[in-house]
Amino acid sequence: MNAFSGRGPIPPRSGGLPLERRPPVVSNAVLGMLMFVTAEAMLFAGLISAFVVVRSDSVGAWPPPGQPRLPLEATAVNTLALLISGGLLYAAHRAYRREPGAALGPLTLSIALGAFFVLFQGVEWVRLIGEGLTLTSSNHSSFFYLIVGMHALHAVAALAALAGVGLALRGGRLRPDRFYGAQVFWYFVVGLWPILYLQVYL
Amino acid sequence: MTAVLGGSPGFARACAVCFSASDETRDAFLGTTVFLTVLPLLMIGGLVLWLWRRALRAERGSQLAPARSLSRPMATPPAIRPL
Repeated sequence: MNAFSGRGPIPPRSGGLPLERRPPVVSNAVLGMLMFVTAEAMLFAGLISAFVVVRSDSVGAWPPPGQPRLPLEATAVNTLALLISGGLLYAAHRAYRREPGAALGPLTLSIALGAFFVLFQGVEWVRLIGEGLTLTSSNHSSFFYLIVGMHALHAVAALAALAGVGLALRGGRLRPDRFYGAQVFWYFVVGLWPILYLQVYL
Repeated sequence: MTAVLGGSPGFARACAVCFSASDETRDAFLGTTVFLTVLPLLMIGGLVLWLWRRALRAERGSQLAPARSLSRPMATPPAIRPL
């Protein structure tokens, strides 16, 4: 499969030999995803910046006293699961380059670990809401749910893209550029999370 | 306008969001402003640099490849890995 998706020769304008169309440097799927990820990175940069400014201007201790404690240790384990998921996706990428069918195993594991991460975060959220940490209970909790919630939305979307890739791979109709584009999105989700964990949780 | 504002710095400090007596807040504003300014430049500049280098490699690869008949369909260039 030609990942450059080269089309046929360019027809001549007025007689003469047709010119060979040069293949694109990078596929549209990957370039589009890189541009999307760049825009989303700025979204998170804005949220983190607002969080840093509000935290610096807080009177007294941060997090505010009387708030339920964030699950640092449990989220650290969850962070590890997410990082392993990213590593497994890279292993799937390497396997795909050798033999496309061999990528299905590591890809499935990667999706499973990513889903575990999202579900575990959801369980922790339910527990925190039950303990009184809600969207409106303090500045800290508002930013926590906003930033972590935005990341969870992106994680769910990236997992859906990877699931589509997995189904296409199983059916033997996966195009390489689709796989690479989905990888870019998941690497962004995985790479962003440690930064959010350090800023919001610690 | 600039002369008026430059001569009246008190207006700048009237913003309830921006002005704070805390050094930590002013440092946070300055730091996040620098961060938000530099980050898009780094990301877009990095992307452009990466694309440029891939284009150079593809150019070198097409120059090294043997001459092809124009009637044959073009195969994947050997010098660059598909992405």
